[in-house]
Amino acid sequence: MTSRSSLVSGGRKPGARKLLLAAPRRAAVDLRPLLEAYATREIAHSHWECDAVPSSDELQTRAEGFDAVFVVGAPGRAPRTVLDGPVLRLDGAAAIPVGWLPYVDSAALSRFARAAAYLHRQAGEISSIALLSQRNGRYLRLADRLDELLRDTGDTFRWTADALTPEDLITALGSGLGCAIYVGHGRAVGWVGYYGLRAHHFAEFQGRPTGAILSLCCKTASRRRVGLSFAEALPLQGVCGAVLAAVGATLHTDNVRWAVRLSDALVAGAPDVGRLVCAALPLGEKPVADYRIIGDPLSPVLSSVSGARRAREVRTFS
Amino acid sequence: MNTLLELLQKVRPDITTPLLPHLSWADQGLDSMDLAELAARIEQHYQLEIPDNVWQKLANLEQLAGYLRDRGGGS
Repeated sequence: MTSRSSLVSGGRKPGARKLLLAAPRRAAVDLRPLLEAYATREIAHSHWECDAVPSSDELQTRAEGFDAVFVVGAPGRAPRTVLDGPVLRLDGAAAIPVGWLPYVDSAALSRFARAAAYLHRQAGEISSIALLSQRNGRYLRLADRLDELLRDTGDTFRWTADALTPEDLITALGSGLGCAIYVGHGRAVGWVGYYGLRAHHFAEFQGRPTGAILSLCCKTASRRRVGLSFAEALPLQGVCGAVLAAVGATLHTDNVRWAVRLSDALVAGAPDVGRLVCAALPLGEKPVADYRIIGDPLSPVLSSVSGARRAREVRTFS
Repeated sequence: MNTLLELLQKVRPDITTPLLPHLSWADQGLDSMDLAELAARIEQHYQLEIPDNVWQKLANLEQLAGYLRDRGGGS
């Protein structure tokens, strides 16, 4: 591995954040719109040029002093093998959120960078959260419960599979939301809900990206029998800035643990997916190790006024 | 026990009648979804992990309080 690092955005101001980007040089060129958007939000980034994806140990060593780490690398690597979880835990320090994105090609990474940059430039202070669920009693009930828990945060939109068609959901997700939470069954290829929502259904996606999609179900970041997992495809298609998703089978009880804690963190006002995930980390190793952040670990989860307004205009069956 | 009742009240604000510690969860009107959320809230409050296989054996409020006492979490 060759590596060279340079702090691009200068010294650190009070309240400013610092991100370590571990990526090949050519990836940083494609990510330029996002790196420029970081600068407008007082996020200093340091580029660690890596031709090969760094090991966990190397990441741990390099991450000290940073608020987030973003790894971009060879598409042959799966989320499960690149990272051990959604955060790095340094001795005696707070957890650091870490995101992964495969460098599939320049066009896809550029598409992601434009969407992620848009999110940083548009980020407001409005909580707008879509609740998505498979049409199944257990999951509809959980969506209802999340609706109750999140009621005081601002706008919540119940876009469950009994309320929207898959086509309408894809359009609705282009409103420019801060966050969307899916509960239900999942596969490496996509969600079981909405008659089986797959990445290719977003091929013509022209909407505004969602800050973060929290996919609280099995396997949507798994590479099993797929070239690219659903969770990796969404940011690369410009659908969102980040996805929190599982690399394998999960327990329903663990997903409820995540749901409750994420709700509490959203109510407390977590401003980006990294801080949201760190505030919501469940106790125990397995529920944490099951999940990864795919995409920008600092993607905002608060939306603009216009994004929330567009979401309010979405018509549902309920 | 008061803390547990408060946490339970967060999960099911609609349950207003006093809970009987020895009655099963189902007899108190709680289902698996309520219990999963209750487990999450207890873990968050006491900062201790309750493994699923242990949680499934805690049949009522009395047993849950006893388990938490043994773990040093009080109740």
